[in-house]
Amino acid sequence: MLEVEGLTKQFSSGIMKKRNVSAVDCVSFHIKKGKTLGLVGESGCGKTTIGRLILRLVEPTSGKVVFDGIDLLSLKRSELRKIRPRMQMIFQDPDSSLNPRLKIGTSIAEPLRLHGTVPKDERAQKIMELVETVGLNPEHVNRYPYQLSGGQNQRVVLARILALNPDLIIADEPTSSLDVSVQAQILNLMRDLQKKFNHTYLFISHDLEVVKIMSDQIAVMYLGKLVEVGETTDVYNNAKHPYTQALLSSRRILLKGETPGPADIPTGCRFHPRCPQKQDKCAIEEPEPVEVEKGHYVACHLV
Amino acid sequence: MTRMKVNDVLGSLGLGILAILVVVAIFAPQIAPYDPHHTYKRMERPSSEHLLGTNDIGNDILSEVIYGTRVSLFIAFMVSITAITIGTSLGLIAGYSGGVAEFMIMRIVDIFLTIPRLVLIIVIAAFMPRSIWNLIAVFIIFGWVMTARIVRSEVLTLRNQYYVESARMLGGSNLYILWRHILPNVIPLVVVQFIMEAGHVIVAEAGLSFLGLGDPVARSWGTTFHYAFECPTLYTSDVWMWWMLPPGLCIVATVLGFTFVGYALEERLNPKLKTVVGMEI
Repeated sequence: MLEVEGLTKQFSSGIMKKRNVSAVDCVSFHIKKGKTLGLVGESGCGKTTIGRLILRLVEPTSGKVVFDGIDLLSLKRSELRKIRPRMQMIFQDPDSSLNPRLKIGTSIAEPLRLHGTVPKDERAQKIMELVETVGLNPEHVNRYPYQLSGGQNQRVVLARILALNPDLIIADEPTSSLDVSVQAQILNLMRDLQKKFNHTYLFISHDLEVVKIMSDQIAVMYLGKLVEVGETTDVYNNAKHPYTQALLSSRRILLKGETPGPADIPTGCRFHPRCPQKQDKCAIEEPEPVEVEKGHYVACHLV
Repeated sequence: MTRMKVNDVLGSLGLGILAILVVVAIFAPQIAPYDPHHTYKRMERPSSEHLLGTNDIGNDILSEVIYGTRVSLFIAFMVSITAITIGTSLGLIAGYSGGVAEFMIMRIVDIFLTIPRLVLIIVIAAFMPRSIWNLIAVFIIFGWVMTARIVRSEVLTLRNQYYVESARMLGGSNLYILWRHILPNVIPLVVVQFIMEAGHVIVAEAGLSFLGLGDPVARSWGTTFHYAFECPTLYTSDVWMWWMLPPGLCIVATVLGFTFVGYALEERLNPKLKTVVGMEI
């Protein structure tokens, strides 16, 4: 359904002396239809940028994104607008995902109005259907976003997306600004919707527990690069990369130092300054991804 | 009294003043006792016939001031509407599109902001034929600048809101996003700018007309001022009391009206100012 190959984004700053900051560096993965890939990593590692690159909300520097057989990066703006309804993104903050001056019902109706798929006189009924699907009450339609809770607003966002009947949904930390109890409700709702509509999810999060519940596959990201990709069970039970091991360890293997900024990425393996199992080679040579078992790739000199 | 209440009182006061002025301007022919261009006996003192006397060529001063309301307000509103529309459009384009368009617009704004506005307006107006439309044009040239700047900076923050990105993903065109999601959120700022600009124009127009750069046919308050000043006996007698004072008070009242309404609105519409405690006006 979605294939990403060598996706790279460099931001440059400065006029006289160009300085390149590589936010995402040669990232490759693929997601099958109806499945979920969980993208994990600490904040600032480039997870969100990947989501935006795929949708071309930010233009990639290089790489390839193939969605349902269509090469997205070669599309013109007008062609892209036609295909965009099939790929949608859910953002971290539900409250600012809705225009504060529009009623909930108007927000949900927006995609219907833009695409005219549903005739005018059936719109009200369609909105009611959507509202019910995401577990809201009909009276919420006439309220404003500030009158609803974060969890309810995230349901509204889901309803608005469902109106388009998309194939791919990129969820960027959809629950991280919600209370724990509400988080579970939203996650369950997302899973139910996936079963019902056969959505493909790219689920971006820093919360390993959440990703474990939601994902079929997991990709672990560090400083703009994927360090480990594989089936959820394989990665959780048989983590090969020292970074993944540190993230997953119940005893919390403490990593030395802080994550370097994307402006000064270490030479060789970018994890080596903090790696507990560092070797001489790691500081010089960058490791290529190696398939350790079927569908389980690790970029580390130790494997 | 709290700050909020002070503002409400001032706001209503301002609104009252403006309402009276607008009514006077619209119904000037019904309200004014005489035709302002008709000549009577010259330099009459105030009497029951001519409440504010007559001027050096025999026009009824009260009628002149009443008709002057029309001219002054007309110029103020025409300039404000046009300048604010231009400023808002350019601000939207600059903030939303970025790139070359933004660079060009903002450099022009910078240039305009460094030029002393009133001095240049006087110079330009001095070289143009004296007419109401030329005055309006000159004020518009300088009136859009602040609005463009303010709108652009607001658009810069709005543009990165998730709901704007969502709208783009839902398939909304740039025009749709600007119209539906960005414009409604800058309107409050624009309204305040409109009111403030109208106040500025009233003062500037009075200044120019006072210097003799106004339209000699459509006489505004400033023009009345101008002719009063040319009268040699203005200071040696008490003529100024009915010739200069009334248009002067009208100018002050109008500016106060606009300012009060502007501040009250700003307080209402800008949530950041609401929490300020302490200092009372």
